[in-house]
Amino acid sequence: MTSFRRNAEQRRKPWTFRRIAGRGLLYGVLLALVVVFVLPLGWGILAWLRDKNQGVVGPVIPSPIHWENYRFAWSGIFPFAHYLKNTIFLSIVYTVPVVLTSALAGYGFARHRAKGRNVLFMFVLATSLVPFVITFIPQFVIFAHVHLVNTYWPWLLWGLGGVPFLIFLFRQFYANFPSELHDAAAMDGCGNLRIFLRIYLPNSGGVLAAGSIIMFTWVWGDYIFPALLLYDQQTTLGPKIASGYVNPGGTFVFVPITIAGAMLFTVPVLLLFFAMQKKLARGIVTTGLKG
Amino acid sequence: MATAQDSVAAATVGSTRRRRASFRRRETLAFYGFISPWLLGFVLLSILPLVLGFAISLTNFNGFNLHTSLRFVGTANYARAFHDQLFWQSLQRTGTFVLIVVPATLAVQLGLAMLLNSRIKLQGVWRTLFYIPAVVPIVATAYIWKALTAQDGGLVNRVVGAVGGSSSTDWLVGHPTVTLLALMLWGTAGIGMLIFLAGLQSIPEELYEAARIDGASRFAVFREVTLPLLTPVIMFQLIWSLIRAAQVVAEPILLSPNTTAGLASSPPEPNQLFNVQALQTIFVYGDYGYGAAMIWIFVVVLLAVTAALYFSGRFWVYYGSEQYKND
Repeated sequence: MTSFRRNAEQRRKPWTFRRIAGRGLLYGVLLALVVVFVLPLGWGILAWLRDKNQGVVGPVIPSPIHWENYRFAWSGIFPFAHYLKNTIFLSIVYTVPVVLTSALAGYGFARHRAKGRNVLFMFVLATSLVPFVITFIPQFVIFAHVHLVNTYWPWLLWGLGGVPFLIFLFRQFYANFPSELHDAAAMDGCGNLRIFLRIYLPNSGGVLAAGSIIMFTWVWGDYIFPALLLYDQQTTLGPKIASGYVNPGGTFVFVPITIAGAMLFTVPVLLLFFAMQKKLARGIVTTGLKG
Repeated sequence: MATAQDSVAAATVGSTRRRRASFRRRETLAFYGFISPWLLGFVLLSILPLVLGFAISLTNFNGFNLHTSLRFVGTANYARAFHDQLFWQSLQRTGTFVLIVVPATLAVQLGLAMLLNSRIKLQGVWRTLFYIPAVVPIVATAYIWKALTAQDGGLVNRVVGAVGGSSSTDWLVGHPTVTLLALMLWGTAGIGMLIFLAGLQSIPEELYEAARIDGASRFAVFREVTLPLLTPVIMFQLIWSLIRAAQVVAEPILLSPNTTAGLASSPPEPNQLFNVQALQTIFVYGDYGYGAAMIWIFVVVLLAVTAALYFSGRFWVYYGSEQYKND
């Protein structure tokens, strides 16, 4: 190893046998790992396409392929579209305020000095350490008392309260923001809120996108809160798919149907993720968690 | 003359001081203005519930007796927890679970991040592929893992059978914790990988080059450069994964063989982790007082462990020397 010429500028190394083998091994391992990570999803899709009476038994690639299982999952047991609408609505009701409030708070922590700032920021971080159940029980009692159970109001309230992770992300982002524009606007007599709305917010597309995707994906796929707070017609796809594919007798309908429903539930967030994945990675890797 | 000059000077000093004071007041106002939605939420959705939750743990509240038979029972709920064998069992289960899950998830996440950071082509594509499981809703994830580990025709049993093992293992009932662990490793890898990747990419390239010039082996570079500089990220990830793993609740419930009962579905015994039991004590059996006491004990234990972990950092976390900080 040491006998080779290896100076700092030398990026292009000769293709020795050793190097080819090393690269080959690296890509081999990567490929094997990708298979492990993507295969379960593929198995889920295959399970959707099986004969509905046979569970996951049968040849690996089912034949014939039962595409039509999705149709049964869509309207055969419960009206999928109705709960899809609920899910979309709830996700927006939560995501929009949570991103805005967190951006405001993150901006405040990054750009304005005041007594108590550091202590309050410690509180932001501390709340992310407190298990959700401990605050949820009394919240539930209060919500029940003021008749907010089985409504979407709790999500709006949680959204307006912001989320520690996002506040942290926005604070990191705004702390590294160049201050020339800010000073210029302040000279022109812009108020603080105007400065934020006109200068900071329009220039934080990447981190806004990353925050929105993370929150939207989370609330879309959430099971526990809708299961605790919503029921009947009001609930979302998470709890509905977990326990809704049942016969009148109360037993589960066929596995391929249930899986088809679960996949239909997954597709929208997967598409959203593929559309936005560059922004997501950039928002986290380059802005958020450094420094 | 002198007096006039003095008074002018005094006036200037006074006005700058006043201006500075008013600037500070405006700053304070702006700061509290911007954080006010969060602050209001913090008081109403965190502080108030914490106080109320503790109050509930001292009563016999059952969800319906607010105006009827509600009684202050002192520390009776806590005493009951100390004598409740189920309580200790589930606490122990969660402890063991956390001890396995946390190191395992961190190893997988760091391993993936290091592979992605090793000058490969199409880094973005690989990153996206590894992140996919993190996007899948938990309900779908649970169904997928049930299909994978199904006793009849599940992929795991097919593979194990093909290499000569038993092809009829009942993973969901017989080895539920293995399934749960696999599901967690699969589902949480993406986010941790991104965080480790950010950490790896912030290590200055000069350090690697210096090590290479000194002829350090790959393993030595990892041990002497990468690992020490990554310790702050490892600490962050340790705490985050610990808190997440200790609170796992949806995953074991959804992996129950039968989930038609929703939240009341009962996982096989090894998967009856602490939070599952506490949540069901409260929301299925309506035992709010006792459930709140259970959770409070749990929170104290969890925070103590977290604090111990955090303070252990002074022995192993590298907080950077001035030399590299200023570069």
